Amino acid sequence: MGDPVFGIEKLDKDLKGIPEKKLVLFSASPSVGNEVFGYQLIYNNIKAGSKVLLLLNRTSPDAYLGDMEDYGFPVENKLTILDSYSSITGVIPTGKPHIISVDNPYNKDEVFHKLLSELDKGYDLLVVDSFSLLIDFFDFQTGLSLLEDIKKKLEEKNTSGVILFTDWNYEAKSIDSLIKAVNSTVEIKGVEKRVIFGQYFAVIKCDWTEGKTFSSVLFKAVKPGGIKIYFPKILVTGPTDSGKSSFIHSASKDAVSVDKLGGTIALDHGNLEFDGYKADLFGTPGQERFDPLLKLLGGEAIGVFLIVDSTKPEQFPRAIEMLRKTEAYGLPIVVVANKADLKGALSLKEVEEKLHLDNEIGLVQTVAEDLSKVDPNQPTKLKKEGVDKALSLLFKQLT
Amino acid sequence: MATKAEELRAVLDNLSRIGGIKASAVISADGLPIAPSIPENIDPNNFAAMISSMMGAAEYALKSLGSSNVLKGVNAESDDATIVAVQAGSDAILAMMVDPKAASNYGLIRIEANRASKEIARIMAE
Repeated sequence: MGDPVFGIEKLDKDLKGIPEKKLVLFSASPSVGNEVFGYQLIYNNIKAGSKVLLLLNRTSPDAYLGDMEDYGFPVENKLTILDSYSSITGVIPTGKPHIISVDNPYNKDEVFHKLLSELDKGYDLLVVDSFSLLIDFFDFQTGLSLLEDIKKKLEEKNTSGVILFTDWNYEAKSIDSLIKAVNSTVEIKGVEKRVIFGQYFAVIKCDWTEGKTFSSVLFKAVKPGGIKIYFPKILVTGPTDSGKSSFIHSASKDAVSVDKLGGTIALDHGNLEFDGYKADLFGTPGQERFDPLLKLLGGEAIGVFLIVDSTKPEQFPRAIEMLRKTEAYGLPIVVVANKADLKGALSLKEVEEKLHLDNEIGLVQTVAEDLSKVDPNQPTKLKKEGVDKALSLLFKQLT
Repeated sequence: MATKAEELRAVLDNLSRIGGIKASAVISADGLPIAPSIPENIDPNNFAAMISSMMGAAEYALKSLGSSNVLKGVNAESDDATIVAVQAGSDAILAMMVDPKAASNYGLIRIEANRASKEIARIMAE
């Protein structure tokens, strides 16, 4: 069994899991929840066979486990919980063997003692939800001194640790010393930048990945499903009848098209979940008479699928023109060469040459799932293989 | 201090108290939902995309007739649902779902929609 993981692909790829003896801080602003990061982390480590201990003072164990289940992360009796909540509310502890109750959560000696002696039994991962409540119960200094004790214990027992923390406007000095005390910090914040309203996370510190810098990513917490990297607007453009609607309908679970008799007249829209990512696709019309709408549809897009018909190289200049009109030049682009199995279709190499693309730009071929079912007035179902390849190419460029 | 999202939500909450307005949402001109307050079974992303393309198409139609003014709004009507969408500054659109049976309340709805759209424009420009 390897080191504990984050359970969130982006973090596991960037940081390569949580090495033993390391302590990670998830620091969230009050408007954004961090609990789902905890759920996902606990679930994935338990699934991998790790022994996990949770110090819980935010809610009751039953409510916590129920919420985990709602997000699609059932752990049954495999999670050991140090329950430092129920006694405050007068809820009678259920006496389940995997739940250890703290009789008086206001007594810091009892909380600390029970936590440290439980860690002595040997765990792979400790999760604290929530550290800010612990600070509110006692004070920041007491919290920090507990953190030092926890660090010693993690060191001694080869355990990894994760603490969830919400920054309720504590003094900057205190936050600094907290960040200094941990090995890595992941910040979770909301963005209100012009028209993008969302949530992002970013690694702001990590002492076991030398000299690496990390990008921040937007995310959504999906029920069920957990944390998904979220791309609010990906543009799908290309000449008339190249297969933009087909691509969107094949890639999304529920796509809508504003179309009359086959051609899209305003836009296609679809949302998709793929490989831990969530994205909204915006498809433009292809006919030139709709060009005035292109700029509007392209606004705020962060990536582009350019769909071309492999049998119609004469439309390629138009494809490039559409990139310009949607103001999508310079964004990450994946070119989808559709209808690659039709008679007269160009090879990938030929498409690349004729479009005069940089080598950087991803290029993927797609074909209809069943040519006999192609109806010119309906979006055609494209083969999953090509669509998935296009999606993973673009998402890789975006993260 | 309230965040922008919370301020926008407060504007929508006020609108929901007016008879006939069933749901409302603030949408970016580019078609992204900013503050949706719509029934759970409606996908806010989808709805936002459709509203913004409707507004964009209407603006283009007006321009093609020679109008040089900015589009104020679009009404989309059917027997069982009506959408009133008004421009709220250059970045945002306020879209409301109105009960067609509340036609007698329409004057009040227009006045309140105008007031709300100015408020939204101010919040977005902050």
